[in-house]
Amino acid sequence: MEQPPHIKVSGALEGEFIITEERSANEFVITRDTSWEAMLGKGERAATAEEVAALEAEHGPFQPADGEG
Amino acid sequence: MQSVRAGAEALRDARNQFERDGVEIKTLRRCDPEGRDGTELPACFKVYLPAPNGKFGMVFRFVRDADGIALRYLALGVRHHPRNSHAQIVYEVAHRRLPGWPARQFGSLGNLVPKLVPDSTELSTDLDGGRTAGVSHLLTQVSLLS
Repeated sequence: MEQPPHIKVSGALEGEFIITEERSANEFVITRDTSWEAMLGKGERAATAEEVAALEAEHGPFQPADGEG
Repeated sequence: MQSVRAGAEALRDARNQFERDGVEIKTLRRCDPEGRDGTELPACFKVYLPAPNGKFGMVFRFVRDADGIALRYLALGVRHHPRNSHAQIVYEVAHRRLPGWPARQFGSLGNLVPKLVPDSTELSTDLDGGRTAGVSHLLTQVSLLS
């Protein structure tokens, strides 16, 4: 799936946005980027499966998936 | 509207609880990597709100930073479609936020970002950028982004 163009905005609005519509050469519709990547903080990355497994081994098991989602 | 208000209330309650007590690992439930509704939530975890089996769900993923492993909030919402509603359920919202999907705005509840840090006696709570110390066990760092 093609990803929408991503932009950084500063001024009256701040943050990461994506362009959801290009109405003309000078007019765009943007919406705040709430994707997982945009949520990650500086210096932060997704934990690996091994890191999560180590956490579980140390602190006890997570509850299993219940088939709901 | 009532649902939105109830959701906002659940969010506030959850945030307060995470600030006060944190999230114990044993209360986290794995999400289905491939759900029956077509959502795919690999490496995701959830809690139901209000606990233990409320109508709302909060989905997280583990992250790693210089301070260690933490939990980052991915989505909050209703677990099941309300009758006669096409509102997105929490699993659909989380699914669309994962890589490969365009980002979507999540209603008016804001982005709650709890972080769980295991096995520490000096954990902090971060709300709107401020930091306070002193939560006792497995706990949550929370910030509410605008």
